[in-house]
Amino acid sequence: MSVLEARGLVKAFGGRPAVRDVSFAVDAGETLAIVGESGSGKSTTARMLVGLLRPDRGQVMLDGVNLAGLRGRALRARRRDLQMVFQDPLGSLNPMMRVGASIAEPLVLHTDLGAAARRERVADLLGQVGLRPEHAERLPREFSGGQRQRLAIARAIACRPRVLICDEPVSALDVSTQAQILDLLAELRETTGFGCVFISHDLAVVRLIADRIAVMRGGELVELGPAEQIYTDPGHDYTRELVSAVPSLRARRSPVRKEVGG
Amino acid sequence: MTTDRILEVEGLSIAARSGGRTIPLVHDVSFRLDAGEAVGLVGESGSGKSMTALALLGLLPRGVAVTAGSVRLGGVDLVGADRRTLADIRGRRIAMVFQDPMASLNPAIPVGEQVAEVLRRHLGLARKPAARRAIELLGAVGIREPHRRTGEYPHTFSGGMRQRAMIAMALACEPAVLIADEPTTALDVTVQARILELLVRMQDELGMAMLLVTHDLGVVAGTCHRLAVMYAGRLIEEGEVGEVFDAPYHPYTAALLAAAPENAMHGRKPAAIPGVVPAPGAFPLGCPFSPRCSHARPDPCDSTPVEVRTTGSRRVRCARSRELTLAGVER
Repeated sequence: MSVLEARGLVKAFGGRPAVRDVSFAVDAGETLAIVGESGSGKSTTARMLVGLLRPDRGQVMLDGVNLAGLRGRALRARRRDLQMVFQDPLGSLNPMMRVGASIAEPLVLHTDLGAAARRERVADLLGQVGLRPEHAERLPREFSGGQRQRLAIARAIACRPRVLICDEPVSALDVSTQAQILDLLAELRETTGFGCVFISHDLAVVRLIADRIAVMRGGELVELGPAEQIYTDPGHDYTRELVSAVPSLRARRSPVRKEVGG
Repeated sequence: MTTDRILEVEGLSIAARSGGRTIPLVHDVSFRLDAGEAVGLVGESGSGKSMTALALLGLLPRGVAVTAGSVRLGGVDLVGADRRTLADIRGRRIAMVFQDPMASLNPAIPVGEQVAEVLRRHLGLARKPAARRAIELLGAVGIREPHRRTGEYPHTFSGGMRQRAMIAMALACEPAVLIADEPTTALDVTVQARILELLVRMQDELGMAMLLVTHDLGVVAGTCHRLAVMYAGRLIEEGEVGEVFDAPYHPYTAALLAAAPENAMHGRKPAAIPGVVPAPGAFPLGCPFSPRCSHARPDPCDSTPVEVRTTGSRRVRCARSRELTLAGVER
């Protein structure tokens, strides 16, 4: 059974449609990439999935339960199962707070763990994202961009969510660290089994991490299929345009025409 | 056959002064731009590539200065030049396009008027001919209905159209050199492809040289003739795009090529580079890449500054480059 399902999501801002009737499902342990350019509605969709935005119409089902029907404690419990990683990790790390405390926050909110058990869990989480236990005592500014994203991921997976929504998680990172974070996400998905929705503008980035890819344009889902097929046999003209717009490392410019003589 | 050296950067060093401390940002960088040629200046954040580009125009931020070296444009050294000379050269002989066009366009002035302003200031055109020429330029960079759009304000333009308007402004005086600093980084991929096409076409039409500052080797591949790779304030490799991509001499270049997300498009897994870029002020004495380099050996790499080795048209700053055979992009 799918762990997360979007059913006919619709959202408009000031009468302008941003997402029009978008439906898809994600299985446990599966990564669905939502790819689109600016204005495609991909980030609005992500925000509706985690409950940061309320859809005008449609439902978000988590393990078959409609999130919109929940209130109070039941909603909080479900929220725990649905976590998000943003493009800018500083958005989820308090700059004044030691990172260990930031990572422990969801544990305080959602679990009965005592202080010692939380410290232990934080140390364990830091290890899972490739950092060391003693890093817990530092402040966010003492870390590089890639390390901060590791910290944000540690916080997001602290309560063992069923689904992780990643909104452009590597777009702000240097090329050399992008691959590190993608590797980490793939590894965590393997070990913890969460379903993952990976939002990106970059078809190259999602090529190896996505099992299936949804292509959005102008608020609509124009194509959804197995990752391999999106690249090798795209069904929609726009998908084809997106694939061919990815710069190729094999492209070469013809040499400068130099004037002979003089 | 003659090669026209348009721009020559020689031994350029840049440092920031902060609380009595001098922090080196760029160290001993040399490269050249020939007529009609596009050179990619490649590096990650903190590599010093953008500082180098700003130094060429005398636009370094407050507290940052050139500490050594020269930037020669047709016989004039821009490093020692006074403000008036620089102001005249900027826009007329060297023009620049930035990542964020909104930062360089005045939101309160119609787009066409901003292009015309460049023509009036640098070429002394009168109001009417300048306005006419501005419309031609907007059309030339692919803005549809330029007659109508010339009177509109920047906020009514999409990101791609703003970047086109910026390019129209930059090219207004047919400069000898265009410096484009991450010109497509903020744009959608489909728009990026069109803007890169435009830059290449305009470059060919005007015979101008282009320095494309970017972190993206995929962008360099189809757009540039040569590339210069920077790491931790140093130029570590330079050469023709085809030669360097096929067989890089520096392990960092090889690692960067292997880490590029575009590899995934050919079914190869991008390989992460372990560790992090050293912070300015913490650049090591020897090769700055050696702490992350799988080929590093303590003796030749860490102890002394590594000199540049020149082979034909290629240059590399790696103590072990003679012994190493590195993999490039598979063809």
